Amino acid sequence: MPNNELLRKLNILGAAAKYDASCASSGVDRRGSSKQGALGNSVACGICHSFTPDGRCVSLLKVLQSNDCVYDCKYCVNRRTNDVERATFTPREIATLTYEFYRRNYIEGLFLSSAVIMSPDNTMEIMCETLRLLRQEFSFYGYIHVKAIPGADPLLIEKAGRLADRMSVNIELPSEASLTRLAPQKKKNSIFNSMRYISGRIEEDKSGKLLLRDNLPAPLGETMPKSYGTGSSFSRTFVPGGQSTQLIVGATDDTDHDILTLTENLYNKMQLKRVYYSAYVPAGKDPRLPTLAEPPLLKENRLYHAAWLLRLYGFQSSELFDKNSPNLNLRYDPKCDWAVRNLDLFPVEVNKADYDTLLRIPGIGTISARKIVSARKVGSLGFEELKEMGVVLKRAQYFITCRGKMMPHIKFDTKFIDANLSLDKRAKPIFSNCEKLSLLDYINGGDY
Amino acid sequence: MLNIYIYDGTYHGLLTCCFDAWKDKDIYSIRSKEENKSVNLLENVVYVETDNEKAERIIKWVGKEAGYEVQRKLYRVFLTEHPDRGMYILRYLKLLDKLGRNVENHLYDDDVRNINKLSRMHASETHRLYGFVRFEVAGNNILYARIEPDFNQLEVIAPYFADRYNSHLWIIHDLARNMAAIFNGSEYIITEYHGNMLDNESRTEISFQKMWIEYLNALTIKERLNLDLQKQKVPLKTRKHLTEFKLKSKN
Repeated sequence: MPNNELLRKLNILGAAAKYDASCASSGVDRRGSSKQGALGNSVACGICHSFTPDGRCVSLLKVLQSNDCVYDCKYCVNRRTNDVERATFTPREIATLTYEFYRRNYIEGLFLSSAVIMSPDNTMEIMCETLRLLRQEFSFYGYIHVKAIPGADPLLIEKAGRLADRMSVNIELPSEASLTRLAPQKKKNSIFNSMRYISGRIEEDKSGKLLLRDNLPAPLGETMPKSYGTGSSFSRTFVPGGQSTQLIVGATDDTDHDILTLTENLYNKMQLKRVYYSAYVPAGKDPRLPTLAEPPLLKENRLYHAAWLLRLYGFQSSELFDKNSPNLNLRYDPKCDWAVRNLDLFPVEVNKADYDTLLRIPGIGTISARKIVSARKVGSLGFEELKEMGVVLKRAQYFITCRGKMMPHIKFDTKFIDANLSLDKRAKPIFSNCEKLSLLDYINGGDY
Repeated sequence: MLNIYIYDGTYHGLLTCCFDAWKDKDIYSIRSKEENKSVNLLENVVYVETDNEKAERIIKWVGKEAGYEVQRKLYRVFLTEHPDRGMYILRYLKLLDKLGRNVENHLYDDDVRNINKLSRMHASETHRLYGFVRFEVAGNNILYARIEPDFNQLEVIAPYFADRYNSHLWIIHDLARNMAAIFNGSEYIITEYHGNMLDNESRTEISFQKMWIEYLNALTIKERLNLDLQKQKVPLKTRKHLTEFKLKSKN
């Protein structure tokens, strides 16, 4: 079975999928032993299997069904007018690769995307067949993340969604103007319609109300698969791991403020599980594209950090920006930036502040905040105790008091803090695409 | 006198020592019999016979006082094979007796910190192994993997892989301890093991390994190269049995 042709396709269609930042294999807990003869399971926290030399996590076999695209999006390596080698996997080739990689424990499952082969419907049909083969013929119970191709028939999206754990539609460009300019064949409406369909269906399954499904005839004359498994492990049938999307940053002049406002809406109104950012890597010489010396990794990092604050720290996107600047401060991280602009809210007394206030201290994350709340129940905390507990004070020291006192030698004024925070120019590993928090939560849970 | 308690190397044995030594003011150390070093004149060795009933009483009591998670935590500390784990566990148990459930809030207490730190280190290695165990498909379609973890992990990873690969036969071989978890398609045992399943890898096996490596190479964004970050995520010591790093260094 394995041969040079398969290897050639894997090289092309793996490389073609590399700009998709999503790697999560999280959000679904499914036991493998629930079905006789099945291969695989799924763990809610997600598992990283390897890391490439760019430091990004590899969790799923991320490949395109095909890179033979009819579209001509300027930012994309697979655009029709680009001179690259083309390849298309058969459904069986992908199913075999997934199966063989999975049982060697190289991967958590499959991430299947595709260029548009002839039409969105045609593409989606081939992808559905790949998933069907894997689930039914190979009895594959591992994780599957599938891309919905914008503009594809909802019936096909429905079919894919019942076979997959997570589904995503990439917005790629954060505004309609950018889309029109760089991806003229993509329409904002078809992107958001697909996303709305997915979130509507997820909501429907959650609430148990059938809003859309009843009106749907079976796709392409087939019987609609109820789900690919039986038993309690598949109580929710439509993408139990939720929906995600991706935005390219740095290819257009959309501001961080625009990007984060969009992000906030996606999390709050469309219940997305993740919004990924992908620093634009120059893919063409079109005059409409910027020329960059290197991908804007710092900008990407700041956006991830800011989105983190929206999702888990109770921030609103409007709080993260200075009135005069629609972009995030590159000198230090968004939480420090917010704190320096709001010094009147500091210093915070760690022995008294509530959990939500602790979370807003730069350098204090959910784990440290939880530790503080827990430890102060049995004694008052000084700087020594904080250090012993493993609370890192490097940034926090400028913003806290213990028993009413600041740390010695720390001056509480904007100039001093600003100078010290921005001194930290040590090259730091850039935040990767991993679901870091869920891993830490998981470890803290202490269970296996 | 310095009393040294010696147990048979099992968790129940360690807990029996804790039970027997509860009121001993002269206790100096609790050691597994393999770790027993030479004894000096001041030391008085007490050999403890494992008593499952005493051990179970402690486990149940911990569960009742502090819950399942603390039970797991102490067990993980045992599995770290840290030379002082016996005394750490004993002191933690005494603290639990004194403070009840509140013990978990004493985050800056040395005894609590030692337990938390070791169990966290163990748990993160477990989690890493979920992703980093690499099977090769050996003769008779048996999946065979080698690991050399810092801590004893077979007991905690075996149930996970038994669920994941329940339709396969597999062996996970801990080279550092000469032990293996062996799964027969319905249940696993953990046993001493000196076998080697990798004498002649099939051509199919080698070609899938190559595909995996080439795939990872294709996936790398050269403009974002960051070997430090890779090293942080995949520490050098974990690379020995990872197909993608192993084969690369061979070529």
